[in-house]
Amino acid sequence: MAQQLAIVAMIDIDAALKNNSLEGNIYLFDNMKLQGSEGQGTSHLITAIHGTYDSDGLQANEQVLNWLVFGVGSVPPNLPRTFPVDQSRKSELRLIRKFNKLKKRIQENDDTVSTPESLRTEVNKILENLGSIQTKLKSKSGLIRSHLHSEVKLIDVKGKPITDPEVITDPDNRSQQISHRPPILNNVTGEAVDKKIIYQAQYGSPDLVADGWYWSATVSTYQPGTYSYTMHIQLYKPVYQQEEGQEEGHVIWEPVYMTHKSSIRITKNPKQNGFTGSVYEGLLPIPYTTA
Amino acid sequence: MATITIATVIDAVAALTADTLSGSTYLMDNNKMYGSIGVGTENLQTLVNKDDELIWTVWALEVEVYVAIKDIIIDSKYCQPEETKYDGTDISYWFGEVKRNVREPISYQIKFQVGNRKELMTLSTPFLIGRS
Repeated sequence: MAQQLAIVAMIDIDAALKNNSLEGNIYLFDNMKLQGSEGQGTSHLITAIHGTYDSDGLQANEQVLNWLVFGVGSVPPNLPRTFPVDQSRKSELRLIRKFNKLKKRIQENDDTVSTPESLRTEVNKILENLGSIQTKLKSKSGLIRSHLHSEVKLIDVKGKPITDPEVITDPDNRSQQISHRPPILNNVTGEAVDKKIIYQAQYGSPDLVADGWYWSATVSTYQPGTYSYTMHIQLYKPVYQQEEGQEEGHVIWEPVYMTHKSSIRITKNPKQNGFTGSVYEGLLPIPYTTA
Repeated sequence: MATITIATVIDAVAALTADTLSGSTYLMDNNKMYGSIGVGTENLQTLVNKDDELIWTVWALEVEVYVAIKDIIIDSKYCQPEETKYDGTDISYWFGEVKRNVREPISYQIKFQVGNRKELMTLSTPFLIGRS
């Protein structure tokens, strides 16, 4: 089977959400540049797919496409999947340690924390540096729930928790770069699917970068030509919410749906033996040796 | 004061085959809205202001391949990038603060380790630019 074709989409999520469009904010790449793909790094990629055919004219091998979608301003995908959860745990432990230290100072009748105002100042100092913002996830049906079975804290692209809600609410505040939840590919449709050129399906993966799902398609290279397809991409927009009476706010990741078109260009050639260049079945050029 | 992420995507297999990063490297930043040019190409010109924080990350086109930034060479008057690891992991990123406003475009180099090749591969095409 030939090398699997990877199509990678890098999305500037902030810009896409602000402009409500992927056009100009999505950068497409594939690993077929040497085979003739055009438009690497732009929003308009034409992926070259080289099919082969047998002596009877029928498709001789399989070509498989895989799609991966990432955010430009996100933490890299090779970080352990538990990274945001680990960071949340660590910041909670740090918070507990700091409060324990404060408690000790009070118990030892430390003068610097003897008045209510001074105590308040100390508590605020701790929360300012270590307090963090929980995230929840909103599903398509509008249901809001905590994800990963616990409330994960919002982190920035350096892996540090975000403490100031204004980073989320004020679009001009860029003091921290929020590490966005990775975009998810929801579907692949369009001309290439309708004309039965690509057979697409969603697969489960142990790699949780896209919640464990990825899209793959086998290609019918029997019909050469250029065919378009549409990617249905779900971005997550961080929305800050503070409930009445609650001091702490939290962030809800709200799904935003966008689509983007791309193309594949199929060519086909006779199947060739890579060693001999022959298009016919035959022996390999192994030199005759005596035992 | 803005935090700007500069992400490099490398087609490592193609880079190692051709023995150069040229033609297999794409740079993106999230500052296009504010004036960066060449986003998605080798010739990224990131628009920066004094006090902006720059963060460099690297991604391989095929996620099984190893790529890492080993050095960033830039005029230290403008920026002194340093390497740091994501807390509790072996994966690093580089960050640096822009110390002064940029007038003439500043060229800089990023040195990558690609695959298990010992020699580092250098990209000399990106720039930092300022508001004219």
